[in-house]
Amino acid sequence: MAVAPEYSDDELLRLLGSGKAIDNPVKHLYEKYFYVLSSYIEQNQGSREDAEDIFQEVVLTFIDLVRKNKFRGESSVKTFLFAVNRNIWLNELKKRGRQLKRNEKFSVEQPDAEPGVEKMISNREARKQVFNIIESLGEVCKKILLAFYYENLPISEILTRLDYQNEQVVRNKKAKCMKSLEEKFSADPALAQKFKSALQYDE
Amino acid sequence: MLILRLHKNLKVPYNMMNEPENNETLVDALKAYGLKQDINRIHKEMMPSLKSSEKNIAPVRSIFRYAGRIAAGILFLVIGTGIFIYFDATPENLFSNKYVPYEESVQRGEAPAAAAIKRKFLEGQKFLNSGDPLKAVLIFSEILRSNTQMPEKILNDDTEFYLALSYLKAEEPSPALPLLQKIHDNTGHLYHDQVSSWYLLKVKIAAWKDK
Repeated sequence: MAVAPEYSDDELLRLLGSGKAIDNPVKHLYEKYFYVLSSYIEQNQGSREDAEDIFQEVVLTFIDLVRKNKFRGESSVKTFLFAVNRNIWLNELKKRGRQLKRNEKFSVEQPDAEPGVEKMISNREARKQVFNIIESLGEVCKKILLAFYYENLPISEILTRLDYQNEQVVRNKKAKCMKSLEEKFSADPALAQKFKSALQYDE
Repeated sequence: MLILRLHKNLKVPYNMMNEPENNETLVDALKAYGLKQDINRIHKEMMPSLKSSEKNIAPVRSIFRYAGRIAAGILFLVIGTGIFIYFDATPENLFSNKYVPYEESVQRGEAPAAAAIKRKFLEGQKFLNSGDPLKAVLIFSEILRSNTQMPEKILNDDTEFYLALSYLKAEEPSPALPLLQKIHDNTGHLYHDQVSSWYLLKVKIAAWKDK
């Protein structure tokens, strides 16, 4: 089994917040919390696949919140992840139309580990839709846009990854991809607004 | 196209001139998408090792779960029994569990002193039988005192046992306890078999409740 370095909560937050390599901190989250969080899902009508999907969403939400300084540190990382896991799963169950009286009662009785956790994750549907839009851009556009905006690579380095003649062509392609993304995005103004709100975790 | 031409002429990167209005949100969306891709990559990397270690842990975990269930069952049983004993250990129940009316035996040519004690003993039995245990306590206690001065103790074991029962009938388990403890400890006592450890425990609980 791959062993990730052990981190304290503070170290973990610092590394995830720095925006640099996330591999080791995320592996640490998997090794430390995957079993317990997935057991909750599996004990509450979820399958193993559900547990894996939800865990990825939990990690995504957590890192996103840390990077946007929305994790206030009023609870431990563990407590916070539990709260996010529970809320995401209960929302998922509601969405599936499986209203579990017991779980709803539990949800009401358990106070959120951090204020507004439920609100923070309530727009995940909008986020999913936007991810689908990005998926629809095609492989080349995704590669260029992610390399530039997510990995923060310079155009010269992106050129080495693609079969283009020069940097200018890459720049033009990037601009076209961004334009295309905006057009797809603007086609549904309500979605755009919801997504903006979801990304900013508006409370 | 006009903007692209202008950009060519000015030699300024196109994207710097033509940032879409929602650029910030789009960049956020791309960053969130990139993060999701990264997490998914790490997920695929981690799951095989997590699954294999889970297989190793699963039997141990199921043993612990099984043991935990057994322990919980035993604990439930112990607590249930404890509650039952606590409520069952009343002087009334303890008396009726053991009380059997004394059967008078005929003995010819008894010494006068022995005959007198026997008469008293039967009198005590009558009181106990008729629901007046305090009078029975007085009589049985008097017999035990008399016996201490007799060369040969008459009906001593019977009196001790029935005195203890009289105390229980009078709802006074505390004074009954030392008598029953003595009978229990003395294997040669006529009523030793009547006072088991279990019975003695219940008397102790009743005495503790009575405090």
